[in-house]
Amino acid sequence: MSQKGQIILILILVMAVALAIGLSIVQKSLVDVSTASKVEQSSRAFSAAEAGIEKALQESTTTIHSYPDFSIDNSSKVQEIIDTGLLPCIPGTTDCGRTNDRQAILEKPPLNNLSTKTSVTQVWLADFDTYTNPPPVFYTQSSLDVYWGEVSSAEKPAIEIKIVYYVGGAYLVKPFFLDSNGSRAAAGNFINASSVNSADVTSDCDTHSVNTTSGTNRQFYCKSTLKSLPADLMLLRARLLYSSTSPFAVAATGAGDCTGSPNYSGCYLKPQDRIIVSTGVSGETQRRVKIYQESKVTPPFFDYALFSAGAINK
Amino acid sequence: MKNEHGVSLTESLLVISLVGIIVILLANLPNAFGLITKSKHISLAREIAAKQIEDKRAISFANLTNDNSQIADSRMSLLPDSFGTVLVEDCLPQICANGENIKQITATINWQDNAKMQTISLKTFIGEGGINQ
Repeated sequence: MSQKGQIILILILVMAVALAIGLSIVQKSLVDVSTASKVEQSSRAFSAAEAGIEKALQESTTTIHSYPDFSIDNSSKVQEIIDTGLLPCIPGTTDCGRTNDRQAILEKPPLNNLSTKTSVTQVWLADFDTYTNPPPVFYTQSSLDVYWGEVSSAEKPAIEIKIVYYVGGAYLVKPFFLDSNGSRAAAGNFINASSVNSADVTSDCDTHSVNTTSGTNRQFYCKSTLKSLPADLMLLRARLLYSSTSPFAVAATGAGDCTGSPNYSGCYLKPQDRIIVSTGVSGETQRRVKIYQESKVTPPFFDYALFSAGAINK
Repeated sequence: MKNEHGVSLTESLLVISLVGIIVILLANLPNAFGLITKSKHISLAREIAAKQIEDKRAISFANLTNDNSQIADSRMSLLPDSFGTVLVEDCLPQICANGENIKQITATINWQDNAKMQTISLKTFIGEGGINQ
């Protein structure tokens, strides 16, 4: 019996398998090289973006700057730096516009209960640039608007706001405890933020979409107007309760004749925060770094220091 | 019935082309392994350079002195024939025209891959009162 040739079939099979293995190795090496070089470009772009931030931080904050793009080296450059200058700006001043309008709503970085650093936020009501004790007053209106709460949060938020003021040679605190959950508010002796209109607070949680220093159509669950504020306001401190995260914004109420004039002292919050966004480019890769700079931030335990009978030693 | 011997033309051409492709592939296989190693080295060098920059950011601006120091990272031994430097110098006048307090940091790492010199360089600024300061 003659045996037909099968060896060639076996050989072809073996070679096909070797081909498949070889192709996959080559493909992996090509993908590896491409990924490594993209990651390298990304690092260069990120370094360039950070360089842009550093440059902007050195500039004076009194005016908004427009920066031309500049090269860091042959392979990376800073494409764009956006520097808001100090926020919220005072209506009618240079580069601010908003003449005959209220001061912009100052939006702070979101409150985050899980992070010690951002569990408390603060807004300066006094002039923090003058080193006297107490600092000179800046905002002298008797009411203040506060926007807070994440719109789609599963756990309804509550917030503790402390207004620090100075009277009779001492710093005092006027607290506001607001809860968007009506039944929980009653049980905890909080103010029902979803519906209240008293001499001290007017509040609702009907979801507000407003323009702030962080952008347009920013969403907040509740808006609370704190009223009957005492004189010599110093500082606003806010602490989030129950929810894990919440946006937070404060606005001067600009009541009465408070629109449009930069010389109308007492109507506005002192410009105190600054947002810088820097874009670095390397090859086809772009990286963007954004920083939020606050002025003279007091530590999270500041509220406890105010209440402490003796000195707090850390 | 007649017995057919031999191989047809199509079969031969197919096998020859298949063998040819496989030979080319296997000849380039060592290159492929070399590329995988090279990309590993590029990633590692990038990590080392980024860490050097972060270390400099952790130093307060007042303590940053202009110098060109050698990188002392234990991972440098994983790169063949490697040598790295971190250069701290004042920001160039063309960029920092207003005499800002900014230092330029350049982390450079060189190593050999297949007897060829490879380089990675990361450059950034550190300013007084800046990031991490």
